[in-house]
Amino acid sequence: MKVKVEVRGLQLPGARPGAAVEAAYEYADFDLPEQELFLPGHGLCASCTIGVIARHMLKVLGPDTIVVNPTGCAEVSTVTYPRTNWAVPWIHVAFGNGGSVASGIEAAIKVLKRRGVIDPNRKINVVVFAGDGGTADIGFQALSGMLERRHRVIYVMYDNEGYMNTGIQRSGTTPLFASATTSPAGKKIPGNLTHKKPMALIAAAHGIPYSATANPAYLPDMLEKFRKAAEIDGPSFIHVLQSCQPGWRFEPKYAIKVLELATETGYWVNYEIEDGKFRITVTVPRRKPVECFLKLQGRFKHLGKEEIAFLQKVIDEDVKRLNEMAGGEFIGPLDPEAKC
Amino acid sequence: MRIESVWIGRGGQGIVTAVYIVAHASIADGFYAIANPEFGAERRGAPVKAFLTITDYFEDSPEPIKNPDVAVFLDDKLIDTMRVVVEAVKPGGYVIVSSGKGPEEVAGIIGRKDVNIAVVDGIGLALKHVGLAVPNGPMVGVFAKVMGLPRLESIKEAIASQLGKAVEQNFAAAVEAYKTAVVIPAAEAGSAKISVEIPTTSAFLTGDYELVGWDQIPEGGLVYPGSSLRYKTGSWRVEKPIIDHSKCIMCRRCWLFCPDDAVLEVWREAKGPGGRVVRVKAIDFSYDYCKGCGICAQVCPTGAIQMVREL
Repeated sequence: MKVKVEVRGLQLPGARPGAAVEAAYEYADFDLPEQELFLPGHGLCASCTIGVIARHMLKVLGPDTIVVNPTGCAEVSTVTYPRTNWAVPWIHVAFGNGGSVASGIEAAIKVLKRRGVIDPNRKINVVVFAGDGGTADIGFQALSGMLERRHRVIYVMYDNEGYMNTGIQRSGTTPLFASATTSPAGKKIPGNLTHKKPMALIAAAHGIPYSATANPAYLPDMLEKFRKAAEIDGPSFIHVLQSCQPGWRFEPKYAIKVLELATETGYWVNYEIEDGKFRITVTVPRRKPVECFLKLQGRFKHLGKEEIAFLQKVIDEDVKRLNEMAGGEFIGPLDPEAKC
Repeated sequence: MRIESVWIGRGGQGIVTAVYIVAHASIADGFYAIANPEFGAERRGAPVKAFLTITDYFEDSPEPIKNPDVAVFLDDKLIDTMRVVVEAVKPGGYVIVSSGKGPEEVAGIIGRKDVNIAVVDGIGLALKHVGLAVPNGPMVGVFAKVMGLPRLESIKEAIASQLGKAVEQNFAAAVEAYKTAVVIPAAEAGSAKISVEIPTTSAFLTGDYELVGWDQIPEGGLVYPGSSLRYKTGSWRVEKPIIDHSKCIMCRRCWLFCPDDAVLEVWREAKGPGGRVVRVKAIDFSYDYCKGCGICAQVCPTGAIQMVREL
């Protein structure tokens, strides 16, 4: 099936001409197979975007893929005995060792190819599909070891910004001022007080060939990143933002809308680091105020004007730093009058 | 006195809160109550059951209930999946159902003549008073009506202590349900003994799978691809998507963003020029798996997809 793609960021209304560097990125034109490898009948919440990420990940990577799934939302809800909805080989591992198991599988494939058991030319992708807890917190040492040993593994981290499976506890990627059950918003403390870990930058600091952030609302960009990661001979890391209906507390139908707003407000920047070269892949000519992103979600509804202004300042600084790294104004200036 | 009840609903319908409200209200009225919810590793929308025992003497046994006096369904689409719960109700007991259908139709679905049936449009009342499709308040009201306990004042206190917000709205929904619920009395006495029991495993919640003993499970807990297809998640739905083919431009954004592979591309016959019938490609939905999240209607650029209430 041929899917028409467009670079969404460039079609924002009210774009100031010449504000952003146009078309920073060329999209390859490739067909998405109609075949589904992430079958329906899973127990994910209605509107959970893990389904969108996993479907398209397997469409790009194809049936010759082995999925390693550490504990997390995706694991408990897609594979509950006696059913599975992954149509590819899949293994469940403990919370902390996704990276180690994937390393072992990749090494075993190498040996079997050398001994002639598997056709040496057959390309087999090993993917770790882990949540933010299994990557940024508990699985971090296994991930770091895997990256350091240069295994040819694609590490996909779906980031719903908390331990949503066990009841919305905060994690290392919970954003500033988000209310979680272990960082509840009260009269004195407005929710979580720590900043989000920039996992793609941390992974890139290992000197790996490919590290990227992606957003399922910007599908062509995400698909292109999966394709690139599969072609690279070495470890690759993709940090994908995933909207979580019970954890972020928005109406189910806004699952994609809230992700779009994350990029349009500059809260989430889609970038990639390929062989040390930093590039912003989805340009935003004029940013919307962060309030647009916050007001859809119940986890931010306790925020007053001061806190929103502070968050806006944090995002302005983040965007400035990323623009400097990319060497141009790819994420444009704030447009305070933009409609949400 | 001992009233055993089983509450069946879906994650997100507030079933756990509902049993806690009834338990707290009963305790305020001077009874003893044990409420214990039971659910698997599943998500919002998946079936959940909760047990509630109300006694007028002290008892400390948090055992699962096998033959309840009352079965409460917060969702009429669960009756077919949970037929075993209906069958296990003691003769002369009560089946309380939240349904937008008429009481006679619901009684037909239940298909038992020896139990009392109470029907209320719980979701409609919840949408009217609270603004959310969470029918727990109305169901508490109906429970109080058919069982004669707990008192409405105690329910209000319990809603305040358990929810802590929107107390007036939830209580108004409970009161209206208390007043408007239709009770169909049992037509016949029925046999004294029933053979069906509610199984103690929660696995029966998740579809028509044959469960084997621990010694017959394949090594490594192996399961096979495609085994999820028998788990029809379409019953989770409150609203279903419908498409207006004249507005659809086949951009396939709904197909791209559907998390459940429930958007299909199918051939459909349409009237072409000169009255000829031509086959054209069109978008359709797989209602077996659609969970009714509404993403497709939201991402549709032309407004061709609409969500309509189904329950």
